[in-house]
Amino acid sequence: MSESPTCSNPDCQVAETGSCLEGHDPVKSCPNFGKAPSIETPDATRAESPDAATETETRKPKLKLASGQQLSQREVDAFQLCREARLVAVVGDTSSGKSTLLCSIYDRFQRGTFAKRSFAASSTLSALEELAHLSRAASGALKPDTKRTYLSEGLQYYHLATAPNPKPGPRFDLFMSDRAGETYRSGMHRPDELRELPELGLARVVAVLIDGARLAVTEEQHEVVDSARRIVRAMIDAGVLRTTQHLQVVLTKRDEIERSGNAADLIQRLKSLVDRLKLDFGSKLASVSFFEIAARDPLGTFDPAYGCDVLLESWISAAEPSTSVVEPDEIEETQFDRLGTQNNFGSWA
Amino acid sequence: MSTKRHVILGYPNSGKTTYLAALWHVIDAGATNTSLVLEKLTGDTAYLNGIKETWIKCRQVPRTHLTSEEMVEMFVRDTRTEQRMVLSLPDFSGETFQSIFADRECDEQFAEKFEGVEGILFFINADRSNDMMSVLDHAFGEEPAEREEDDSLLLEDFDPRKVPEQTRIVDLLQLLQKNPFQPRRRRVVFAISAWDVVLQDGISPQEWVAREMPLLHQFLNNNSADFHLRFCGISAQGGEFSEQNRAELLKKTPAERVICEWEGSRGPDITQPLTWLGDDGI
Repeated sequence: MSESPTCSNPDCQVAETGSCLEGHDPVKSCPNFGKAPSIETPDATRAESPDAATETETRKPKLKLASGQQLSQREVDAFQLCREARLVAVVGDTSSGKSTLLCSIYDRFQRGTFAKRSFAASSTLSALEELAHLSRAASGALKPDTKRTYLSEGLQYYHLATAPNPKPGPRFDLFMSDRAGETYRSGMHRPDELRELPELGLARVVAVLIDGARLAVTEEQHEVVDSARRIVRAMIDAGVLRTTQHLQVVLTKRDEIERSGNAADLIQRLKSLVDRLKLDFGSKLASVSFFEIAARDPLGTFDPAYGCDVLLESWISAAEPSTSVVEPDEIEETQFDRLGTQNNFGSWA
Repeated sequence: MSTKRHVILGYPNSGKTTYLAALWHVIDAGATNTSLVLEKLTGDTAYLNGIKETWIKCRQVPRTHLTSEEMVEMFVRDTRTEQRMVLSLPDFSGETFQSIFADRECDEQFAEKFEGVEGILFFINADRSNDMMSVLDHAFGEEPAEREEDDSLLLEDFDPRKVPEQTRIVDLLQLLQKNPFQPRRRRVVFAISAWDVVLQDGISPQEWVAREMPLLHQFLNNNSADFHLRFCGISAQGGEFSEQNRAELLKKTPAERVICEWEGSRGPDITQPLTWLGDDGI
């Protein structure tokens, strides 16, 4: 039987958790590892007494800090009251690559500037790191992967603020939605359910992801294309998409398409789908466009985050609807009317 | 008299305590190569003297444990400008900062000590491994090897204490601009410790941050409204403590061992970043 590890730092719980309090990895690299817990310091002596431990706890009240986790719709709304931001709804079936797309964009910024932008801030760094964990060597994984988003997690947003690079310019805040693909699949069959998904109506850009790995499988390809068309139709029929919103059809896992040996045909098939969507729904949307990405090619044929730079740029540059001044159609009768329409509140005509 | 308060921040093993030991020696001994002189000291000098004694002998200064965070206030005067200032230098343990990212909470005491802080000396250890490596960085364009065992059983669980250091630093700097901390523009010096290991690269401390911590570099460039920045390279030990190198270091006077790369020049005055933190000018 092996002995449990010890540490001279009285606060370290390596014996219970296997993790070094000071973050050393491997734990044996910590100079305190393997040494007997110190009992000579006054602090350690005090900590041995249960009463003293309690006293120490009460003397050290904690303050809660911002969680760094994904944000809810309410939190995003609150953010937008303080600062202008854009919402992007990332829509797609299970395993279509929604989370991987967001993860790969974040990963690029960790390594430098990306998409002619530089990193300015994020309120969801903890969540992005957790998302990136299985793509990191530290995870011990042999193949990069992304944590799955479960149905129970509901709607969540990742936050990324960037600024132009190298030319300086104002910061731009993006909130990118993520939710389990099952929800969208269900909404495809029952469009009324889509009305319950706030991200669809609030986003300036709605990106519908098409799973390239499934498209590359002959048996699956027709169903994949048909599902993409149906989810768009369902969103239009449910009235959640409007003329102020940009629809994007995004082919993910472009590397799998390339390796299928049938890339040209498959790409053409999707372009035909996009043309059809433009024809059918173009007048009901601000724009319809097509993108190809390979967020994380495991064989490295495609650069990491291939095509994601163009996609990110499109999210930032998507045109806002033009605003027009609405002339009052009624004569102002009360001071309250005047308050809403002109600056001479308080002066009688 | 200016009562500017500054703090030392940094994750475990970033070189905070070694710097404090060297600083205390330089100021206490009244070394000639610094413009700062001590006028008064409050706090636990036993702690300071303890780490200094270890440092003088060219031995590894022990890490600061959570239970031994010490508040030290050095009342100093800059002999060049005759400006007086108070350097409040609580030696927070690295775990204090780990807990902020991992547990999303901090001791009320930490927030209290941070009240009124105008300057930050933020330590990053240059002698470090790459903590951002991705699985694909190892792949070299080959099919991933197959494991016989269930791969998921061999995966490490996500541990927020092990996320890349640059992410944790950005997160901390963001949090310091939010409640319960006071949002304000602060002077920040990024002190790259173990600078002796970088000297042969011939780059500046700022270039080192851009090369090794691109996310942090971008963040700092885009948030100049919140941070007034300087970068310096510091080797408070003067070099590694291998047997041969230690013997060489012991031949030098302690204050001459240290290396401080500041504003394009290299010398033994490790108080220069503190002088700048306390300065009112540009």
